[in-house]
Amino acid sequence: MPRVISHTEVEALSEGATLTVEPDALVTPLALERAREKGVTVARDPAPTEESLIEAVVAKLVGSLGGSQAELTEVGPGIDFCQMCLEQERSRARSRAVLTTTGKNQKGIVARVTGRIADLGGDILDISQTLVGDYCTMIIVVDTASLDVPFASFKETLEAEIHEMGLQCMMMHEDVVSSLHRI
Amino acid sequence: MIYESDELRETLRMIEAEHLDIRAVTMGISLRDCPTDDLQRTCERVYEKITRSAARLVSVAAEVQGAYGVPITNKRISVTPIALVGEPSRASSYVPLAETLDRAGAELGIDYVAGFSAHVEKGITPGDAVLLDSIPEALSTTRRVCSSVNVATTRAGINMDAIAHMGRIIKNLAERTAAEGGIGCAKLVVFANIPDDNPFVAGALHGIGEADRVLNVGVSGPGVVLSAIKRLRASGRRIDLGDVAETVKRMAFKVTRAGELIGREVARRLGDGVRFGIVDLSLAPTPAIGDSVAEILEALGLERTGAPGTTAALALITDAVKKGGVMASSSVGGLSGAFIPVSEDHGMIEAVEAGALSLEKLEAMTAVCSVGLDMVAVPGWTTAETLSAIIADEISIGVANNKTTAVRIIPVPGKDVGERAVYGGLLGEAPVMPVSRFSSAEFIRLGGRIPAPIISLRN
Repeated sequence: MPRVISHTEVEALSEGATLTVEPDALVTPLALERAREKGVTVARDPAPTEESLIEAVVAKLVGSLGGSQAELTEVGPGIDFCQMCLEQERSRARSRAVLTTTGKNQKGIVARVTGRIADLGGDILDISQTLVGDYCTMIIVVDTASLDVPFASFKETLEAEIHEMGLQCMMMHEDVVSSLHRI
Repeated sequence: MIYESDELRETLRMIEAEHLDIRAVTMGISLRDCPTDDLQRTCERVYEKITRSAARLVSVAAEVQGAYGVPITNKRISVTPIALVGEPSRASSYVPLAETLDRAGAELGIDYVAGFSAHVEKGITPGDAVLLDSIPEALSTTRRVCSSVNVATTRAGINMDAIAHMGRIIKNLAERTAAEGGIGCAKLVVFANIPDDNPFVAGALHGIGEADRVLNVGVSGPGVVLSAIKRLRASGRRIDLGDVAETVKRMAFKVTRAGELIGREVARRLGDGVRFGIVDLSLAPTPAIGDSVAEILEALGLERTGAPGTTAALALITDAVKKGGVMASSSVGGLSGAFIPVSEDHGMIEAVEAGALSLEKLEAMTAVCSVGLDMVAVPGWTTAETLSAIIADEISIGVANNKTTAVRIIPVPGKDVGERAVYGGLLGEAPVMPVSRFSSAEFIRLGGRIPAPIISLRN
């Protein structure tokens, strides 16, 4: 069972210290807050690598199939089998985002926004841009499965770019739109 | 386009302008593996179980909010009724358990932990009695702990001894928190037919028939319904109340779908055996303008909430909300309906201050919507017996109609009709409402149990 790190453990440390915890340890929000205040670094040791994660998944799979740790070596090519599962899981979770940009029309809106999406590794699946009077509305559906950066920073960067042009924007997961409007 | 631009625009409008949000993701945590014969040890186990189970709740909710673009307003925890957790210890006070819940909430960055509760609809065990006696101290010395007491069910009838006791507890609690306008009472709810999976505090608890850890979601959206009605009325078409019901139903459907999507995603990301529970679709107002149930009623042509016709309008809205919700999800539960908390809804506050809305009219409204007399402030001089009698009236509406009703009432120390008690935040401001000056003391002193109504015999 993973260990729970609470704020009392952080408070027992001196300022600027490093708290090394197991990779699966649960660190509570208050513990993180106290760590920030005291300049304590929370490090996970050893940091989980891709291989160790895959091994853990395989072990869990073998376990759930009623196998033992000893049989694990026999799985061998099972690692591929496991990766296949992961791939399936990835493609099952659709990862498309809808970005809507609105505001006063100006030159280069589409160029700047789409350029930045490409920089970050997003793939544009659909795009539309209309003008009503001097008011511009652009809707872009982006495939975010192959982003070069985490989704959160993708969102943040684009929002900053768009706000810089004096425009409003909103990014939401495609599932929100489809669950609201499709049965 | 994959999506019509109208669909996208509507989604954006609902979130940005109409306050569509996930009002609460509440993790229900079973504490049935925590009781021991020593209260100190029980507290340690409770603390361990809660912090372990919900360590990632706040961060996962933030993650999902970022990824999906739908705001998640509150992250909360509900637990197994503490009367059951404390009873094996035979301790004489459960205040240490309340302090433990408070500490766990602080550790996890959670504002309310609910479930300092007991079920006493048919009788009071020694553990229940200790819990009831601990309520005033527990709620006045902690910040995050919420308490609920179920005093009646349609099956069991009404425990009038417990109701008499609750009147005294509320009085005591108000006096202990007099400096803050009796705010302790805002964390205590007296129920009939309490649900086991309600995600909305203060009345949340984790029922004994639930799984070990469950994620329940409360969605709201009075703003979405209000603007839909306003657009319908401004459309220029001739509309009747049937059209209104249809519109509300459609909006409720959409709001519920958003709730279920987010709830399932949070539960999936939490993993580790956390199960998705229910979506509670309730029109729950906030003090923000445009996020008000009273405004919805007034958009239907009532000059003020409380005017004749209010109960009919509320019945229409509540029913349409339920029908839309049930179509959208097979996991609708909790309280699902419309909340009419006075202090949390600026339209309700204005109606009270204009003299349009009385305690008696509110009571009638609760016969057709979810919950009951909620966040109602009454004069500080109101006696414990009168409080008990108000509770008894409200509870009998629930028992006779086979529905949940509840009372969250605050006798504001030192204040009288015409004044306001200011709580701030989501709790808002409560105008002190007039209470009957005629005594019910003799009736309450009779005590005993009001037998279950004939509709309880359904087998």
